[in-house]
Amino acid sequence: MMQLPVTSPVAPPASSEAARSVTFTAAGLRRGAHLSLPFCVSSIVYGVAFGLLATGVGVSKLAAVLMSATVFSGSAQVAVLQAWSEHPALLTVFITVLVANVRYVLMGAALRAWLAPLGPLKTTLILLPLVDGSFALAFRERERGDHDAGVLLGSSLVSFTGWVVGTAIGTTASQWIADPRAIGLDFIIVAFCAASAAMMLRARADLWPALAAALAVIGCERWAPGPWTIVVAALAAAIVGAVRYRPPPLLNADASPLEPPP
Amino acid sequence: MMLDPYTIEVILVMTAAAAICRLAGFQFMRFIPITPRLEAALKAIPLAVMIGIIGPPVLRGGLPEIVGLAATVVAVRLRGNDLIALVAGMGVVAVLRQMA
Repeated sequence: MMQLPVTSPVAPPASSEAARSVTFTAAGLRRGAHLSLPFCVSSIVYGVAFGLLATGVGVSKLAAVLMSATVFSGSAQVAVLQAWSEHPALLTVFITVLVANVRYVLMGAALRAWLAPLGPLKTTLILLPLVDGSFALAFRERERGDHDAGVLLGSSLVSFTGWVVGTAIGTTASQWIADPRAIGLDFIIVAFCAASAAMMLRARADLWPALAAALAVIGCERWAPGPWTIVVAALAAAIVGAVRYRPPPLLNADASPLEPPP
Repeated sequence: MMLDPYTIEVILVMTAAAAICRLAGFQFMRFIPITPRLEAALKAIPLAVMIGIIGPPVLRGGLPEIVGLAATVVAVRLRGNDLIALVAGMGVVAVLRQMA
């Protein structure tokens, strides 16, 4: 990228460009991988749980591992497999995966300013294995001044490896367990999602979208149980989230309509 | 070990949908402005997906599933560690199923 010499001391035109500096190195990859080793453990455990679930609903080991390696999305894969016995239509599968992964659209949009100078090939390579943990970690490191996009990819690849290896372990282990239900193995996925939901709720001020989702699930189960439950729940929460959105109050207190009259 | 055509189709569709989500924000969001209201709608979705996954097995289950869910949530609140919560929830479900 061409850097024009900064001439104006008042408003340097390159200041926003400087903030956009990005590198992509093998050292960054190693750094990201090293920082993400704790994620690897939870990826493996979640992968094992998914592998057990997959075998439980009759998906072959090869199919489960292939799915983990190409889709790499725990919630989307679990959502599809929970409906597996009903042979969901391909359109339902497609929409379910889109809904379960819509957060990546926001992350991708947030990454644009940082990664754009790398060009389409490298950014595609970096974005395809993107995952919540690596996004958070890479942004944290960037705040600390590490602009190496290798950190993001390295972190993603560690989670990816854990997920695929975990899936393989889970599908293999299931053949040694006579009655997975008796030891609560079918409950792992529910517990995993409940733990994630509890952690998300802690940071969340607005409970109404979550309540709308819960009511949508109860309604679906009662009147129209099927593989679309997750999509209906997500839509209900999105609508309530949008309706309840209020712009943040203006910093200028004089302009606030909530100001009590003198 | 063979893959039946339906499974292959499902995996292909899932792969495409996941890739679209990961690439779309970066590629297309310069054309579609993410307004704060749209962002609020999109941010409400991940938790709803979790609720959509938790709901059916618990509603179709019985006492073990309900108490197991409560144990998981309490454990994650107290310990802040999802692996401990996972073991707690599974353990409660397993014990209650043995007693039933």
